[in-house]
Amino acid sequence: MRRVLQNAALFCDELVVLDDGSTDGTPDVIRAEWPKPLTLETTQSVSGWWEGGAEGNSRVALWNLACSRAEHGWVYVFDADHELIGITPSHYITLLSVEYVNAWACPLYDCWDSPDTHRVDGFWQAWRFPRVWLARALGKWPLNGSLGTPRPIHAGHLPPFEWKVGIMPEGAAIRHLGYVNKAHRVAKHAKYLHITSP
Amino acid sequence: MNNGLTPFERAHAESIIQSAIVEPIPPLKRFRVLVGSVVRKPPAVVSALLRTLAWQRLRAPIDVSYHFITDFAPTDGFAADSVGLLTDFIKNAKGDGNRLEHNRNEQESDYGDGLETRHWQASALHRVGALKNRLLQRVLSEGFDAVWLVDADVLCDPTTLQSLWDNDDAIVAGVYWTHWQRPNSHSVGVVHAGPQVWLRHPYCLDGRGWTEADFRRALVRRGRVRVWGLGACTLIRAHAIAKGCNFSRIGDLPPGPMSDGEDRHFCWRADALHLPMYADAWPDIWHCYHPEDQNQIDRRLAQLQRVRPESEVELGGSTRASVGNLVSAKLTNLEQPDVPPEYVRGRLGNLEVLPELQEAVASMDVGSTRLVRVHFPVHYQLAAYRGQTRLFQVQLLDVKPYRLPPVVDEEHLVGARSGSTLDATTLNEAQLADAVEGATRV
Repeated sequence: MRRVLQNAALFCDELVVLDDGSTDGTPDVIRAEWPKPLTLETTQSVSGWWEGGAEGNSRVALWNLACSRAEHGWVYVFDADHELIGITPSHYITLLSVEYVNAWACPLYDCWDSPDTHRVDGFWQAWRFPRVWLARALGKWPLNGSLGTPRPIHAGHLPPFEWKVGIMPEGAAIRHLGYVNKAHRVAKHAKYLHITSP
Repeated sequence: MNNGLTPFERAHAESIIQSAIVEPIPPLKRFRVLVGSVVRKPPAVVSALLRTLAWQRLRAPIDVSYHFITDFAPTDGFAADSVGLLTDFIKNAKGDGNRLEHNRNEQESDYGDGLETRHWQASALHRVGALKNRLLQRVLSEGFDAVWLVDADVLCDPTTLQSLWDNDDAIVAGVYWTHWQRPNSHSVGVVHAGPQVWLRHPYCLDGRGWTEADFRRALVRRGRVRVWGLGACTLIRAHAIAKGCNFSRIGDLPPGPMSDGEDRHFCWRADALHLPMYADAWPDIWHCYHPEDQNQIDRRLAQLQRVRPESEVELGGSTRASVGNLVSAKLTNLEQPDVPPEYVRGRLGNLEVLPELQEAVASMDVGSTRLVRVHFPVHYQLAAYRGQTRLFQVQLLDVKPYRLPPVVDEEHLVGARSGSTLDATTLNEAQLADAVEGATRV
């Protein structure tokens, strides 16, 4: 978490956190480590992912919260195990100055066994296909069926707007650290297979 | 138990604890390139070949392995000396993927040098194709990322492999120029040099929207051009080989000189597999084609080597370009990823790009990248861009002092003051004589 926050601080003026039921003191770590303005809320009316609920509900709530703070600026959406690499803060600022696109995509590396290696077989192809992680705060996430049935896992990080997407400079990527540690992989596997609600 | 996951989601979740294939993340990945050549040349040529392969300077994280296959006939008296050179080279090369193989060639008369040009019989072409296929097979079986196939009489400057790699294409060949026919007493016209890339089979330098003059001009100006025929100095990515690209005979091709060449079959197959091929005229490459060309080897090697080590001195000790230098750059429109990157080559100060991009190139070091906001003027030739602004990534791939490619430089007149060039092959004999006289008078 410390590592992820230090990384995010390079690129963001303010942090918006939705704590969806963590049990390991994450909010305290964030308050202690984040050096800039912070908005931290805990899910109340939506059941969080760690409670066995749908991931999608948390995503919607987080986006709406971030948009309310961004005031038509840009929102960089990341999980608590994501690190943005391969781009300097200066180049990142340049991305925010554009007028044509309203979203920026880059690949994601599912790091495995080490932060410097990633998994490339079978389902693990996110490194091949850039996805949007940085987008203009265009407004609230529509809930009237555009989202469809919220998925328990692999829910999109951003609302299904018709984004005009650019690709970040070559080398920029998200390093997904959640699968580095074998014990964490086993725990995630168990969590995924015991999700009971859609 | 129905836990709300789709079969796909469930399978994805199950895969978390299954065995994984893991690689270094792309910024840390090192690429493996096999450098391969089928060799049946005398020691003077082999020595030069090995020198030019060894002096390749790479910016990209590439590990090179060498694989030579000799194809000497029993009557090749020079074979032992050439094999000795290859053996020493392999023994001293870094890494453990280097290999020297010997093919016993019993068809001694199916290949050789004639009065005017080289002669190949079909058996020679197919044999060499089969040997090259062995190199392609090794790429797949040992997990190389690409193979660079170099004919044994093709001598490349130190930037060649890096330039081919920078192209990002499945199949790309460095361009060189050859006087395929020796002029003789029966020649009625001037014999010009020709490139080893072409637009239509078997060897047509026009078509596909090009005139021959425009195609030649684009190559002389160091361009990167899509072609439908190439060979002899080719970087082939592994995925092209995996898709089925190889040198095996594909059937009867359009008749003509060298029409049964293994390169022709390769190119025809690549086209059928929808694999575009590109000619990269950036590097300086010289083809030691006729036996008497061996007398030029030392001079040509000095010319090729001048492209890099001394060029940094000529560039004032830095790797930044000055006006008039040749530059090679890659421009990527980050806001429109559906638009392929543009490869720009030319003389700094005269590049056919918008001023902001040229200015960025002028301020960069080789290998560096910059983000540039580009403002398209209201009168821009492409209406969709008029009055628009886009963010580009500019990468400066290489810089070198201005010079024309080897061999074709002897077919140009160069203005002493302006540096402008006149392609002598575009003039008739009377015009040429007049132009040369005029140049002398000035």
